[in-house]
This record gives sequence, C-alpha cells and structure tokens, in this order.
Amino acid sequence: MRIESIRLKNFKVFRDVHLKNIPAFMVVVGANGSGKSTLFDVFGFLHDCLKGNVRQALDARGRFREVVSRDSGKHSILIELQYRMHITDVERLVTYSLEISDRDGAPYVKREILRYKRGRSGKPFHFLDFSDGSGYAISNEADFNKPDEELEREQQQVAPDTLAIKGLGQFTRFKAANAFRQLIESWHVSDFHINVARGRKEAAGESEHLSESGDNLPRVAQYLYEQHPKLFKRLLQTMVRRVPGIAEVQPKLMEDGYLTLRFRDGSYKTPFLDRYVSDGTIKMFAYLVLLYDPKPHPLLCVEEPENQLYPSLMTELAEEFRLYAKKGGQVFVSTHSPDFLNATELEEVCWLVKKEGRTEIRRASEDPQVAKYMAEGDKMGYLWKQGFFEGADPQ
Amino acid sequence: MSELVFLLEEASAKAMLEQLVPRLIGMDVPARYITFEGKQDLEKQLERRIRGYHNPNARFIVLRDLDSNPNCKKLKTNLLAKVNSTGKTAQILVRIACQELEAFLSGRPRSRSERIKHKAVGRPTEQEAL
Repeated sequence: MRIESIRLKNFKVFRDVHLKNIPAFMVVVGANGSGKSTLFDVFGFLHDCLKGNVRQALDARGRFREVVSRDSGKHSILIELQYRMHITDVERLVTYSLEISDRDGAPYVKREILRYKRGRSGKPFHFLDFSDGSGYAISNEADFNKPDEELEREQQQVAPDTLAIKGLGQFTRFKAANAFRQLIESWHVSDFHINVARGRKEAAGESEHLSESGDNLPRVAQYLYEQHPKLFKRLLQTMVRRVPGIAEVQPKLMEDGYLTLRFRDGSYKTPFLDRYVSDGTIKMFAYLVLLYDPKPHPLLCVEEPENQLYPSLMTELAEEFRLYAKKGGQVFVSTHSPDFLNATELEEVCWLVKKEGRTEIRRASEDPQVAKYMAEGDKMGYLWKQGFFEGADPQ
Repeated sequence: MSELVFLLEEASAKAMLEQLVPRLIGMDVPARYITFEGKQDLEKQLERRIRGYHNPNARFIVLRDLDSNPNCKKLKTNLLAKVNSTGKTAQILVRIACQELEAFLSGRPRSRSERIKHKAVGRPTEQEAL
C-alpha cells in the first residue's frame, strides 16, 4: 500500500495543493515556516481524528479557525488522499476524501467518502459516503460481479465530529476502509529526542518498534538482539563502520531490573554506559534501530535526519531510507542538508514555495532546468545551494 | 526570453550585484546569480552549469576575484578555455576583478583611500560607485 497523491484545501498554509505521483521515498525541502511540518501533520491530524474525534484533533492544533487557512474566506478544510492497494487481487486506486467544517464553533464532518473503481472502466464507486453524521457503507464490496444496485448499503449513524472509518474501519469486510485505517494508525513520525533515549529504562513496555521520541531505544535494541540476532549483527557492523571507536553496543539488563545500553570502544576492555556516549552516536544507533525494523511502518515521516550527524554519512542514511521504503514502508523526509540532498534522485525531491502566506509544492522532476542538469549527472544538493530550486530560498 | 546569468565565486558577490545590476541595466532583463563555494568550486562546475543551461537566449557573465593570483591575463585565458568548450562562447563574458570584486560598489580603491585620508568617509557617490 502506498500513498499516491495528497490534495489539500484550506489546511493551514496549504490553500490549494495537489501533490501527485508521490514516490515511495520523498524528500521535502523548504525554508523555515514554509510548511514542511504541516505537510507531515496531515497524517498526524488524521491519526488524531481516528484516535479521538475531529474536535480533539482540531483543538490540539488551536481549534478550527487556526487550522483553516487564514483569510481564505472558506469554511471548510479538505484532505484527500489516494492510495494503491490490492482488493480481490486487483490493484486499485482508492480515494479517501474528508471535508471538515465548523458550525457555531462546533466542528463537524461535512463529507467523508471512500471511493474506487469497481472495474477497469466506469466512474469511481462510493463505498462509503457520510455527511454530517449519517450515511452508508457497502458491506459486500468484494462482490465485484454484482451490479451496483445489488450491493448492500448499510445505513449508519455516527457522531457528526467522528470519522465513519473509525468505526467501520475496524471490520475487515470493509476492505478499503480497514486498510486506510491501519495505515493512518501505524503512521509514524520520528521526533527523536536524544536525552529521553539515553539512560536506564523499565525492562517492560513496547519493544518491537522505536517510539516517536525514542525513549524505548534500549528495549527495542534488546528485542532485536534476542529475537533477530542476524539483523542485530548487521546493524552493529554498520554502526562500527560509521562511528569511529565504537566496537560494540550491547543492551544490558541491570541487577535492579532496569535496561540500559552499553557501548564499547575498541581501545578499552570495559564498556561504558550510554549516558557517556556522544549525541551523534546515540542518534545514529537510533536511526539504525528504526530503519532495520523487521516490520516497517507503512508510512514513516522524519524531520531533518541530518541533525547531529557527520555530513559524509548522509549518503548511506539516504540509501537506508530508500531501502526501508522498498521493504514496504513509504518514507517522507524533510531536510536542510545539501549532503543529504546530494544522495537523492530527481523524482524523490520536492520543495515548498511560500508566497503571500500560502504555500505551493514544486516537484524537481517538473522543473525543466533541474531535470536537465540531473540528466547530465548533477546532484540535487548542489542545484539547491546554487539557487535552482525556484522560490525555495527565503527572499 | 533574454536573461543574464552571473556565475560567482561566493555569496557576497551576489549581494553586491543584486544592488548594482538593476541600477546599471534596469529591471527589464531578468538576472540570475549562481553562487559557488569558492573559486575552485566555480572553476569545477562552471562548464557544466553553462552547458546544461535551459534558456538558449541566456547570456553568461563569469566573475572571479584575482586575489593572490599573480597573472590576471593568464587566469582569464584559462577561464576562457574552459567556457569555450561549452560551445556558447559568443554568449559568455569572463571578467576578472583585479582588485576586490566589492570595489565595484565601494568605488575605486584609490579615490576611496583618498577620501579616508581626508576623513570624508561615507557612502560613495553614485558616480564613484559606477
């Protein structure tokens, strides 16, 4: 499953954007405040809508009037995502469309649609269609041979500020809704904090995936060490190659029941605790733990992975994100690093242009000049630094 | 569409030209300033930038400080040899700023130092600057 397009209307700085043909690994460049985080927050917003309701998701972002584009004169926010998935062995392009509005200070779902084509041709069929708390979902969507009128519509009522896919998406018979719900629920934004990743941790808790802040780093390391020893060995080899001096990293269960990481420097026999290891070392280790995950997140967003890391490591880091995307997870990265960009390809890069309070998205592949230089063997980072990302630089 | 493309060795040259160029040629001809990370970077990437430039009607100006280089003529010949290989020779000007490039803006160094000697320090007049 992969996100193919994102269309936004009146979502903060994005008055009207339509990002198409999204690659498995996408890199976003933009000046400070141009909307990189907002773009990633589309998924965070949907995630919050699913976890609670639309009102809670809006409240966490300063309520409806802060989220709807300023001075747009518009009263609704539109978020439309298209993704590809297999339904009854055929790959289909599914559209999820959500329109949110506000009535006397109370936000509600104006329209929520899930649609895709049943056959090769024909108009996309609405498999779920809700408006202001009531609507229907098709419960036998897999019966593609049945004519439209024989499909079973289940009429449903939900609270006006609740997404219909929240309830219906729990049932596997609503295939497209179920898959979308899973994608949004397991969406992961890495907001890694070195200081919470360090130190002793409770031995019990989430250990299969690195958390957003990275505060369960020793637990995930231990899980990989015990359950996926081969993978952990490969991870260590990479670590040793990238961080001079590091010969070994070992999760260690202390006598008091806490878990900690121990790093061993090749020149010394006794290992030292993670609290005495440099920020960059911890961060590189955390990225490897995140990216070597045997069960990748369907969608991973990382902001400025270059922070604290040595510039020459960027090429390999970019390659690892790309591999992660190939394994099945889609990856969106924002960056300010020319070294990181130098390791990217033409189709992977887009940049944000903010003009008069609204942001547009430009694709590198659609810029004839950038495409021409790249075809002649140039590098994205050079082109960006030399001002060829038209409109990206702060004026 | 005609366009003026400057290939510069550093960002300070761009800052200077952004002020100066509109005063010299007006705003009618769009100008682009490509800044490199020093002289070596300029010399390394110069041909590639000119050769692959998308706009066939663009005119290029390569600017480089002389700095400690003892021979400005030889330096210019070398740069010309590089840009000639792009096949766009007629569209390219190579200029060596024999003194600091910024002297274009702050006035002739000699008259500038005269002014300093006479304690008449201030902004150079427009005529001096140009």
